[in-house]
Amino acid sequence: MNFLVNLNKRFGLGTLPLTAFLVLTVLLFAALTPRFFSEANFQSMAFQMPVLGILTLATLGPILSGGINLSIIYTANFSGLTLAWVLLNNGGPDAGSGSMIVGCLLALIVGAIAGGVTGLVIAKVGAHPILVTLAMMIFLRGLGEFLTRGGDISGFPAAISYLGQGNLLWVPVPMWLFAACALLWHLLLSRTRHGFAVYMVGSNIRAAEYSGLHTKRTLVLIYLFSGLLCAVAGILMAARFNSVRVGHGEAILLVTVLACFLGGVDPFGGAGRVLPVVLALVILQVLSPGMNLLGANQHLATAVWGLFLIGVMMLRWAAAKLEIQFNRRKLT
Amino acid sequence: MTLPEAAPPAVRLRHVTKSFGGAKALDNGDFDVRRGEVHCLAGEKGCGKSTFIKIITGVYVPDAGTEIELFGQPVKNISPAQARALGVAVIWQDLALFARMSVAENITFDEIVGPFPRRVNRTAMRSHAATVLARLGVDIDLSASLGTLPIAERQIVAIARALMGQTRLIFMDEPTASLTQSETDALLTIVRKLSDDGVAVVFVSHRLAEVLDVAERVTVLRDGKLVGVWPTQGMTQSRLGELMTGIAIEHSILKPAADDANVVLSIQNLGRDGEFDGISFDIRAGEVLGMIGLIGAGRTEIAHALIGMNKPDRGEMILTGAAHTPRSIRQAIAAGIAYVSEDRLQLGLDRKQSIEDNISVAVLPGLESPPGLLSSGLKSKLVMDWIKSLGIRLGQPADAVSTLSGGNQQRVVLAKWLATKPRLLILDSPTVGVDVGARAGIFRIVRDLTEKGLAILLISDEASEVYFNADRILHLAGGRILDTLVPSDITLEALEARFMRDFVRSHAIELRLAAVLSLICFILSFASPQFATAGNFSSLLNNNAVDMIWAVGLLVVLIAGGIDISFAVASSVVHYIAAKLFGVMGGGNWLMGIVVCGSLGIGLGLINAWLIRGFKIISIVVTIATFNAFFGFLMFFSGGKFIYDLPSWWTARVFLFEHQNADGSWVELNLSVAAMVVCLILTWILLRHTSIGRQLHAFGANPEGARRAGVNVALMQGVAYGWMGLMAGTAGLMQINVVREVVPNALAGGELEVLAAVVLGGARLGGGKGTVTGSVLGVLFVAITQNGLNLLGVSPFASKMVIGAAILIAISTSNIGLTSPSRKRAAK
Repeated sequence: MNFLVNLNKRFGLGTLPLTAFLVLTVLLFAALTPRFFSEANFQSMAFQMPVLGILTLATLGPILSGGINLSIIYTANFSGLTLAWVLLNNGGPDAGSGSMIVGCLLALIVGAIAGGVTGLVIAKVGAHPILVTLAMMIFLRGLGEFLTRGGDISGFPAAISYLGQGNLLWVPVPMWLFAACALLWHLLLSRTRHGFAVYMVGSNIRAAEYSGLHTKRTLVLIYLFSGLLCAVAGILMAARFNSVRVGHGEAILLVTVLACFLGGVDPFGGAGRVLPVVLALVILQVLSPGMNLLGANQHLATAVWGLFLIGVMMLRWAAAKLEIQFNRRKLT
Repeated sequence: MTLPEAAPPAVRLRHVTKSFGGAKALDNGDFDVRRGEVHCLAGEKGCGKSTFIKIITGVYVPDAGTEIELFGQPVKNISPAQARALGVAVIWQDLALFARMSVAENITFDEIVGPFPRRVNRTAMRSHAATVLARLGVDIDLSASLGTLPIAERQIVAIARALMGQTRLIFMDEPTASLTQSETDALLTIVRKLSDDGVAVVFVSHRLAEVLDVAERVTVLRDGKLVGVWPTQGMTQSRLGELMTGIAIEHSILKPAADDANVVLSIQNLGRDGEFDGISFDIRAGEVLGMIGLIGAGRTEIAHALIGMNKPDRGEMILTGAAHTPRSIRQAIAAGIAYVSEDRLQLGLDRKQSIEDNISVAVLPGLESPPGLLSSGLKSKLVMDWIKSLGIRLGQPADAVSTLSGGNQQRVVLAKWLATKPRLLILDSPTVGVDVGARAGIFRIVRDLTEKGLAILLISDEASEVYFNADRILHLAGGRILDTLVPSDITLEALEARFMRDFVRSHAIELRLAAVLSLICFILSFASPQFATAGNFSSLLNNNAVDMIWAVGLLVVLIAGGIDISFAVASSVVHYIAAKLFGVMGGGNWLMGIVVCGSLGIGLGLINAWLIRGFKIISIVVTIATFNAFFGFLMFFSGGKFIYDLPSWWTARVFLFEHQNADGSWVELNLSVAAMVVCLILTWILLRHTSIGRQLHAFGANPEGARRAGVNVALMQGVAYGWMGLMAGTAGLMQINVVREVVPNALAGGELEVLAAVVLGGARLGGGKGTVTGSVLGVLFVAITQNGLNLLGVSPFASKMVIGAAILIAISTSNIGLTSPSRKRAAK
């Protein structure tokens, strides 16, 4: 019991109920369809989840700081585009590993710049993050579509697809990348001064400023890191589909926000952990192909995601109500 | 009792008890107010005075066993609106007024409140307001926006509002806290006048001179308990002070510290324009220097200069021999200054975060091991040390600070700052909201600290606090030091008396933000010659009618303090269902179309409202969830298939206006433009001219104030999201008329750009502000920029980029968002 309490404390409230729910869903689908516990199903999930997962991490940081980043998809697309540009200018399918490395680095830099500029505007001007990131989203989409004329860019060297489609020690490479990102993000948020400042800024920015924290630097950095994660996701998307299209993955934006809320992140900022969010992601991922296997389509899964979020919020509301009643009874 | 038995007292309370969590804020108190009496409720801050008022007026529900009678009538579970109907009015300390509404609207706000929509009659409103102001004998511009008035006039507006209707009992919660002496005198005159008119006034204050001056009887509260009721005749200030604090007699005055002790901080001629000037003083090691002054006297401003929040314009500060010129709080902390701010709840602590995080927030660099990573071992050692040495009573260090009592919260703040090992500790009103027992504890800690050589600057607006705890006292008024006093040379009454004469500048310099972005874009767009043609304008309107309809719907939601992401998808759902419905039934006409689409839209909107209200989920989460649910079900049931087979009335080209130019091009306006105009006008009427719309504004800007004024919260949310739904339904209906087919996934994705446009048009995320005109201009800004770029031959892809950049620039150059702390300070 003590172990469970500790687990909850270390990784955030909601870890336990989410885990329980995950086990339940898995068992349910396993009972309903034999194809659920197949290697093919797990492989397909393991390839699908990392992009969504890394983008969710990119959404998580800004929400913790009391804001939001709506430009993640186009930041990812634009970073992918940078990679594609370097590869195509160095021989396309024949591009060497040197240009691949340069391309990935440039993509990361572009993502960081996009995030950093967003953060600067938010910190210095004090405009609402929804508005700033929305404008950034529209800007990046326009710029990307202008450069690509709205079409697909493809023709990358075969080696790059290893990043998106290869296996390393029986586990897909994207999954390793996602795990690394999640771990780093967890460490950054829970074990560093910057992470500490993110939570403080998220729940009370003025108190944080009075305590001598670098509130502006914190805001710039959190959006910069968010942009960096987007770039990783953009590189993965390019590698997985062997093509880049601006607008690819547009529908993921709201799903990432949904995953964060499902993982118990406070919509107003200041509270939320990485692990429950990852668990929420796994649940969404299991729900969607699980229902596909049962014959339902992707759209029904979208609807179920929405209902699922409402359900979780209702449960939290009921739990809070019960707790109040329980406390009252304890008093009298 | 001088009144005849026939008239029961205005208020009769027996066994009033109220607990929050485990703490009893009020414990078994009795309370009576006679009719037409001025009765004072006295007690220190945090003694339960406000709780008392909130119970009588129905803001709080008291614990079982409490009996309340108003004018002889027993009441139970009274609501703020019912209390108002019985003739009970409250002037809250924060006034609970609505800064963006006019003076006349604020005074007559109760006439607006109510579930049934009525036309707002501005003429009647003004004449009613003028009558009340005349009764008070004051003259205030009725059409001025309340936010532009100085505090004293807002106070009078609040009194005028309380007097509307048949008011027989007024509660005034600390009405003089931020008034000058002459303003206070004027207010007390008004209070006496009201009493002569037969209105009972309950006057809450902790300023003893006023209490004795104006009241007939005084009820003293201490720590939530009723100490007793006394007539003010024959009562002295010091006796009343003792009754209120209960510990005055136990206090002893400190001896001044030795003169030759080390000077920690020396200030010469410090000044900052508009705040303070000519400030010079020294603080020595082991000394407590008191600084007394009202809000606006410059006390907090001086502290801000010491910690690098504001740069002084003149003078110098010398900290232990070296010039002290901090440019940030971090530098001040590094130099050895710790500032315990006056607003503990907002600035001193992050109440949502844990106790341990709050204690360690200012010393993070020292807690890293290995470098770059925070060590939980070092952190918990630091936290446990301070918890022990300050005697903080808590459950777990990982609990949120908000679980602690006021006194323990204050100790957490002290621990946080003492951990930075300061040489000078600035305590700004350290005992606000702390009960008496805990105060003594805090000052015991302060004395221990001085013995260890810490210098302390104690800032306060309570004379007794400084008198009993400081070695020397600086009396501050109007930004200057009036006197330096030594407690052993002066009595507490003399200090109180000096203090009461103070002059307070009210600096209600409210930054008025004129965001006329849209105007600029109009001017810019005229740069292109093809732009200003009738044909271009008509197509601009035809193409953006649906966006406009959405925009005004969203505006209503934003004004009410919410947000909606699901409206575009709601339109899709509505027009799909309606198309299927008329496909099955056949026939139909416009009227049926409007009824069906409108009610479907309202239904979807009410689902959002129900989830938000019923389960206390915030609107962005709800609408993201419903966005997914609506869209998923729509795509699932429709299979993404288009519907082309639509009734002819629906797809018929109806032109409001058509004209062929000489060159063969057409100028035409289609039906959706008419729908748009109707929607804009209806929304404008709703927001500007109905009681519901004005309540929406008030609710969005100040939800708590609106609730106390009796606004029905559930109704407001229902109206806001229902209206959004109605607009979404109308937009869906018109979309079919424009494109003559149903494409299930065509509309989704439009919501974010509409949101950007509305916010750009001046609507505030967070509620209370926004106009139909602004939203229209916001949508036009985006549409016209795009249109202009198209005409200039820029590719549609590039024009999107330019629009994004234009919005970014518009944001950066205006003050739309006021979330930045430095800007909030400036506005203050």
